[in-house]
Amino acid sequence: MPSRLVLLILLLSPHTAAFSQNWNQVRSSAERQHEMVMMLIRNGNFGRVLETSRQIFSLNFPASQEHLLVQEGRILSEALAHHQQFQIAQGLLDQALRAVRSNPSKIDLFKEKAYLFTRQGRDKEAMEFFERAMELEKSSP
Amino acid sequence: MDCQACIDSLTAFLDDELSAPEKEVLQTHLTQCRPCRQEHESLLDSYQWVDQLTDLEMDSTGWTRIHSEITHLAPGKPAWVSPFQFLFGSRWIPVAAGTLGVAILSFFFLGGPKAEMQDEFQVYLEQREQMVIRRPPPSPLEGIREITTDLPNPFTVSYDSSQSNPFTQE
Amino acid sequence: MASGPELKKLVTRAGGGDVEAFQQLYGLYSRKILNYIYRLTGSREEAEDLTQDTFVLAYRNLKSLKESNKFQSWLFRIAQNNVYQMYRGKKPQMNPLPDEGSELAETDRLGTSQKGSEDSLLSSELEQVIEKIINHLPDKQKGVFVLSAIHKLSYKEISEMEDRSLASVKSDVHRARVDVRDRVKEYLRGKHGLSSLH
Repeated sequence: MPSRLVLLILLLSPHTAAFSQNWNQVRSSAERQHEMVMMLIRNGNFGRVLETSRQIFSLNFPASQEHLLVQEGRILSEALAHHQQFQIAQGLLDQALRAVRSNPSKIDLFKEKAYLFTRQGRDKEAMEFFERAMELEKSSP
Repeated sequence: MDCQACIDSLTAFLDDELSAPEKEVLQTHLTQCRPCRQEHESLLDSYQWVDQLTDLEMDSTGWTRIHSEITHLAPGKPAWVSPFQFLFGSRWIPVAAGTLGVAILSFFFLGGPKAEMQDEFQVYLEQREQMVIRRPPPSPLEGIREITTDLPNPFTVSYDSSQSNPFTQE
Repeated sequence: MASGPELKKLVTRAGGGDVEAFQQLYGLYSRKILNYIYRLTGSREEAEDLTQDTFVLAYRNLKSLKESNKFQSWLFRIAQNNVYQMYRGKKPQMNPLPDEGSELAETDRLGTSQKGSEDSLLSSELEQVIEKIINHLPDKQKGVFVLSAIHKLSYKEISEMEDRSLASVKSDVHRARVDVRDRVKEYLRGKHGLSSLH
């Protein structure tokens, strides 16, 4: 049995190494793009935020790292909301929603949209998105 | 037809938007007026250019994403309503009205699912307000930091909510 | 494109929640919507995102469509509203028009190659120029021009969709056509020193 385990590890290790290398490339690309988006926000160059943030959300994130996309959506929309750029913040959360596959990620992002709508004083839309999150939560295993 | 009227109608003519009599008048004018004929040929160039523009092709993953969205949406009207529509004939109206009245009263007195949802939402909002996604606020000596320097980068390898850049490898 | 009765069947089935029927509608109209939005915004990425939004919204609201034969213009209307929502009060980011005879930026050439321009009879550069000229038309003209010249909607369909008079649609389509013609000829004159063009 141990020899089979060793064999399995040996067989998988190139794939693991390849995965690790690929993920590092994705991660560092996302890291760079994050800083670029923050710089755009800092400089008030809001018109270019969405086209730049799209580079992050179109990267091929593995399922195990999807939570980072959710967090990125939260962080960037927070920064935009601080500058009263709610429309762009909502657009950014929509980009994140399109990028994620798992229900927990979608639930978190729907709730984030709801929170953002509350800050905009749009309680009706806020409630709609929170309800969508709850429906998805109930229907998920 | 004068030249100005002809020129103003050339695009509609090329788009086949003129009535038969209008077309005839315009075509007669074109046979007799060289400048208008030249203008007609020149406009035709723009038709050819635009007709030859190539379209974007749809990304093959487009439907997958739409499918994922719409299968999580509730349909506009639940399918189970229609078989039961016969129940809501005229003699059942008082029963339906009574049931509705009881439902409204119970929602009013007992809260009901809508009120429960609102309570859950309030709880979520309070939790969300507490969620720390910033570095600790600056000390008075440090002064006021711009929010974008306060917020972390989630793609830092050893990211946690107090990190400055989640994507940065430490 | 689906015939009238086939379209009616598909729209009715999709409106009842039949996802397969809606997928067929998507197959029939997604390319048109993508290219319509692309020509309004000038951005492929925005066009892809907004196309998705358009179809999701269409699925949700299909029951409100009374006449299935108006499906196409209804769908264009949703797409148009999505574009206006996104750019409310702001113009879409547009690359500047090329100077006459100037070289296009590397990114522009890359953008063209994604469109499969090897099949086009126009050079990829001229195609880029024409796309940009269309994108720079005044908003009032651009929408009607794209619908008429590229998507071949009738003036009547456009006037219903845009809630404008037939006369105003006719006038704007004509002005846009003349504008596009004049600017392209100006560009060609500058690039190739062609003075014989009128």
